[in-house]
Amino acid sequence: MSVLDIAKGMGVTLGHLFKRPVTVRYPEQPVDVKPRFRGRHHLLRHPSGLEKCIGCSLCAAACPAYAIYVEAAENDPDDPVSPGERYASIYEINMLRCIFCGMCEEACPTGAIVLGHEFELADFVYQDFTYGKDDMLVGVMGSKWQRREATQKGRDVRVGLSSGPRPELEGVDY
Amino acid sequence: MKVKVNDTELELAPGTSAIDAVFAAGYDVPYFCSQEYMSPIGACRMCLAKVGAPRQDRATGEWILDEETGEPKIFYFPTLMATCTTAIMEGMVIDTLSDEVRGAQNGMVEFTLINHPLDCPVCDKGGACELQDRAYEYGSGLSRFRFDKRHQEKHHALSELITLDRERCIHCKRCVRYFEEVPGDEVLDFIERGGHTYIGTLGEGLPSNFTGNITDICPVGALLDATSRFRGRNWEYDHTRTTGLDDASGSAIIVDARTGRIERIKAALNAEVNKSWIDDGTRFGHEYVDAEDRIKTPLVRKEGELVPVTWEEATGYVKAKLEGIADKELGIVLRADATLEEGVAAKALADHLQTGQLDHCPRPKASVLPEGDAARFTDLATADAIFVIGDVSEEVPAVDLRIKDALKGVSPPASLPHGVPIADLRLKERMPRKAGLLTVAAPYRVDLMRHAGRSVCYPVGGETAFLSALVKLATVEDELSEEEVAALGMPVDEGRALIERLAQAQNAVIVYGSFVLASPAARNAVIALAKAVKAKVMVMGPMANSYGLEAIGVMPSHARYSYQQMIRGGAKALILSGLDPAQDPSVAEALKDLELLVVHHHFANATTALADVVLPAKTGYEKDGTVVNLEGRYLPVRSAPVDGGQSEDFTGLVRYLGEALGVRLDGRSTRSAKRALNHLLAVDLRDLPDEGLLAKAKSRPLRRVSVKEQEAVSGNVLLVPSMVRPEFVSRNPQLRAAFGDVALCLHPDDADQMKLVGGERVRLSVDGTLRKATVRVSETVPQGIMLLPATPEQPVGLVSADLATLVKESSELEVA
Amino acid sequence: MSDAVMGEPTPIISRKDPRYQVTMYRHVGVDGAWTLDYYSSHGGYRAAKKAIADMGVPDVIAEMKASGLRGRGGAGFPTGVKWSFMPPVDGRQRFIVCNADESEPGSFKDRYVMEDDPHQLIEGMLIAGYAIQASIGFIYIRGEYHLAYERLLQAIREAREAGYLGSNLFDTDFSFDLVVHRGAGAYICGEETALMNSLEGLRGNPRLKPPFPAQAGVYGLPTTINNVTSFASAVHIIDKGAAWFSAMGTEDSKGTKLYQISGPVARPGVYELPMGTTFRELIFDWGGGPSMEIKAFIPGGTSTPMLPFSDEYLDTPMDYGSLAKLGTMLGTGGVILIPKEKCMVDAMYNIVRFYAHESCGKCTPCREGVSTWLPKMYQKLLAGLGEPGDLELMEEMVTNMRGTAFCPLADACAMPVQASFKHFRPEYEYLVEHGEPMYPKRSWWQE
Repeated sequence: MSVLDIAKGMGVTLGHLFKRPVTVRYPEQPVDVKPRFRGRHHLLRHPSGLEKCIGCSLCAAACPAYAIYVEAAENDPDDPVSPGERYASIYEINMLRCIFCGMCEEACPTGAIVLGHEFELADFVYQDFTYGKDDMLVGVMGSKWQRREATQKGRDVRVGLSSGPRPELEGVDY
Repeated sequence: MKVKVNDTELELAPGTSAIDAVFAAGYDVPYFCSQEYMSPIGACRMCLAKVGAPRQDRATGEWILDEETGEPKIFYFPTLMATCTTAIMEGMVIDTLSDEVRGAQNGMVEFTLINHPLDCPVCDKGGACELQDRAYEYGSGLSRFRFDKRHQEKHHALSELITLDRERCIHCKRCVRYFEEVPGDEVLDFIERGGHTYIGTLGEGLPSNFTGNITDICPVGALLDATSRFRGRNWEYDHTRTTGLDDASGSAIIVDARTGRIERIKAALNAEVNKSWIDDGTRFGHEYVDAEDRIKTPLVRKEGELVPVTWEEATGYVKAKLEGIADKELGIVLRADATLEEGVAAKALADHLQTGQLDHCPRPKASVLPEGDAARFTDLATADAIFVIGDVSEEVPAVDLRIKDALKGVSPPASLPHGVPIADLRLKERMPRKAGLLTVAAPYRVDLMRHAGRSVCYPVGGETAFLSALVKLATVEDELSEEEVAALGMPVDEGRALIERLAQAQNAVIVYGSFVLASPAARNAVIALAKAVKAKVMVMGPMANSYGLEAIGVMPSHARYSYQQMIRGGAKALILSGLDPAQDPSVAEALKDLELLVVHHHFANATTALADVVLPAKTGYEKDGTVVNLEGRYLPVRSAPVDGGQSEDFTGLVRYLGEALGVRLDGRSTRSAKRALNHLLAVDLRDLPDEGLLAKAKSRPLRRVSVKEQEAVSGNVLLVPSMVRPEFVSRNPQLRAAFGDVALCLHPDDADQMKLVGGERVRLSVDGTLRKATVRVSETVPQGIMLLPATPEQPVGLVSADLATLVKESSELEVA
Repeated sequence: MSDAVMGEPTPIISRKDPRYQVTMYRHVGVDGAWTLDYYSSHGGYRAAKKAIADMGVPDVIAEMKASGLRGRGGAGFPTGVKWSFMPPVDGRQRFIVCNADESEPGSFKDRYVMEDDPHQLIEGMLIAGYAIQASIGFIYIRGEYHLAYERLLQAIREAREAGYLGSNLFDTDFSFDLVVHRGAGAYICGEETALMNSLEGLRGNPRLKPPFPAQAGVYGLPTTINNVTSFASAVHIIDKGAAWFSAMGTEDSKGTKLYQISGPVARPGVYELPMGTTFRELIFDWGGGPSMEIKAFIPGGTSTPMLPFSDEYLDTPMDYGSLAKLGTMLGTGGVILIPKEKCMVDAMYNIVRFYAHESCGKCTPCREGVSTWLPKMYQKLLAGLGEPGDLELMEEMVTNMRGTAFCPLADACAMPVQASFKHFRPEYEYLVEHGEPMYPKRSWWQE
């Protein structure tokens, strides 16, 4: 190894000294994730407000980690939850089991479940990792813990994301 | 006959259909309209194949030879043939693989799918759907139909138990044919024509005891079990094949459970027993398993209150109590749908405690074991003369269907390599029925009489006199006395014609049930009649394992130790499994005097309210074991994954109690019970096949009790067998909605006299027990008598009701 | 249609024409011919008496076989052979059924026979009933034939009073009576097994064959079913002898047949002509020639594939064999002329719509193909929304329908469509390409 080689290497280092840093000051600053990043699931609604999920359980069948549990029920024709006869009365994802592979999204015949960008899912109690419909329906922001903290402190839910949602995530706004 | 399917040559019996030849050769063709045990009609046109056969020269009888090869020349049919309606011919060649055939099958799938809504994600059949599978295997995957699909009613409630989605229907006609061909109740048909055709009923609901089967045979999700609607997807269910414990037929069922709950029950195939049909009581009667008030932990009475404890504590308590009780003062009683293993356990416990007070209930006064030639279901289905005494459609509905098989005069099909023939060409739509071979006798008009050539309503409670008169006709030349003629319920000539028909038949079967079993004299008379006319007999015991429990001797050692005596002060301590005798206030008084009352039951009831110890019991769907059906066939009972808490069957009870007593009893587990049964019966019950085992039955029961002849008698209420189990009907809301409440049937004149109208809820003290029921007025009931479903505690027979106790309840529950 | 275009509306011409000796049609068109008085004064019930009183059952069947009469309903099965298929007499009730559910567009021959000469049908059924030893006959008449129904009822009443129907006819121990059953408007009930279902009060769906009607027909009992004019022919075969009958016609198609002609022709109507008459003779000599330029003709009712109106086809003799060679069928003998100015796609849609309406819905290709998809495709084309690939799709669909269905109704729809594609594909292509038909819709009959 010659001195010249060392100088070359040091030159690279020197060059980077004057570039913008790659690191982000998370959590003080929000992060920008790639568009195809797969984070926490969202359950979407039709423009009419009806839930897209029809409780078919195909996501549960496709899930390689057995993280999803669905129970269906029949819609009241006068006050339907989803279009058609069937809706999900219980929709639960165990976030500890979930491996965020996105198979549920691929299996969904109505495009009801889409993986969003939220990734701050850490929590303290086992049962708090089971996300139900209330935690995932479009309009709900943040993880259970983030929402709990927001209520306690009386402020808006803060999600550490700066990137916008994917086009599939109709109605989701970070 | 030699047949060649693609490249496989095989030998099949004449009359086999081409579709069965294809399947027997190991190939596959799609089909929707054919269904085992039903007539082939060739409506779906899916099973098309290129079919040809050699021809014989008319003049010489020689095969016409191909000039080039010298082999018999194959003359192909000008068009593709539906193999389900084509019978095989000598030398027939069937091609299912060529492009022409594949193209046509593909075209048919496309036609079938153009009006199918493809809402598979929300369809309860999804994942177990014949159309899905066939479209996947034979379809092109893409639709070229760019128009609006047919729109029809998506949710038409055919009955409380069955919904019809008319958009999904592919018009295979299986359901329509099923009702006409199997139970013979024509309730469904096509309405409209062409592309507008749909399935519908003329009136309201489906008046038949066998409606649920159409949900099994529907190849798509058009007909669905309403009770399991949207409860789960087919791949999520745990499927457990077991034996139904609702009646003595031993019908094969599949229990589908999910997350510890039974969601639905489907019929399973047992060709020699129930074929692939079950009745609605068996199919829909499971809801009670999940009832809110199910007891899931052992309870012990402490300071007057029942407190949850562990099994060890509960059995320890029992052991401590038993120490103060002398031998022979303890009574043990099982419900008659307990398994053989539970019976062995009860016997072992009784033997250890040296008590003869062992019984099962309901146990008819006469033995349920057939004497002489016992008939099998196949004998019944091939019989050329059948004499039924009783109401089989309610008592053991599977027998009803096998009798209707016999009326068609088509013997059960021989099994092929792929199982039951898919298309049995001997069966036709709307076959003429040989009603003449069937005679039905009962004290009131029963449903099967619609199909019988001769029906007799003998006087209520007059079984013994009726049968004795027939025996006299069959054996003695003398004229009948006037009373005997009256007891006969029909002209003497008719009686003679019946005897003659039975005597001349090659394969006559006499079927009798609880009405006859209620009296040993009547039972002896029917056996004498069977001997006189050389008929086989089929005995319908009151419950699923009545036969087995009697055969292994779960019986009192003396008549004074019978259940009825035990609960009326005969015992100082009682262990009751699955029974609720305290509904009768006088019995409840007697039970209060007991030193120890252990109740092993699923639900809190009048008896558990008096119990010192309550132990949670498994239902019939949760047990492992063996039962013996009315043919004497050993059938496996397997446990479905149901959340029963800490419930145990009687073997579990004996295991815990044995541990407390410090003994290892036979029957402490199903394994040890099976070992004991092997000693007892010389039948190895381990790994019983699904279709059961017809071992040579011991002709004599191990223990026989002489019953004091106490002929009943008179009364104003006839307790009758019922397909829907009345003891659970209040916990089966959907079944109750469909079949109504427990019904008190009476004649219109009586109803007028008692100022009752149909649909009214009443309470009435029947033989001491307060029974609640809904009034149903029917002309089928003889005057001066009321019909009420029997319960385990109130078995079939004539009893008295105190009409002074009749109270009308406020009719909150209007019965539709 | 106005008289100016179509000529004199005198449908029954052959009776008046001296060239041929008419048989079945000799009384049609005569006022009052439907009465028993008229009929018996013209030799009525002579044949029945001859058959029942003088001939044995085997003789009657042998005579029928010798005559070479083939079923006039369309399929052309030899009538005598059909009668001989009945099982031996075993004490069971046997039935003879007359298929008078004439619903094929382009066919109207049975109607005239029944309206003007009902006794001829009754006599024919008497002979057939005797031949198969049936004591009850059913006439399943098309529901819309009200006048024919009334006249038949009247004729049966008269015949009964005169002792031609009832027990111990013609002083023999043969008894026979007739029941008239009106259909409720279903083309499919012209199919013999569907007819039997309908007669029994069931849904008019075709039944599985075998068992054939001779083994298990109406109510599961031995039954023979024939067309109205087959019965009418039987009267004359028995009366004049098989030799007389078989002398007429061609080698494989004996006797005379009622041909019908409709469409733009000078004298539309029913003509009784010997089998084997050519289309040219029928259309030009008898029908008086077309009144408009013709591009195609349907040889025997709408279920038969059409042929182009060219010399090549016009000289074809109208018999079973010659038409089969051309890939079409004699059918009911109802010739329909299609004018050049008529859009072929529209004409076919009219036919397809008929079959779509009449499909019973039992089997898949007919219910979904004939009754649902095919008419929708025609609607799409005619609305000018045709796309490339549609014609290929229709052709494939029709191929899938043909020969795969349970009964011939799907074939009856598929074959004409196939023929129209074969001969007039340019018209379809023009419609797809331009969005409007080659020959626009015109109310030309009003001009």
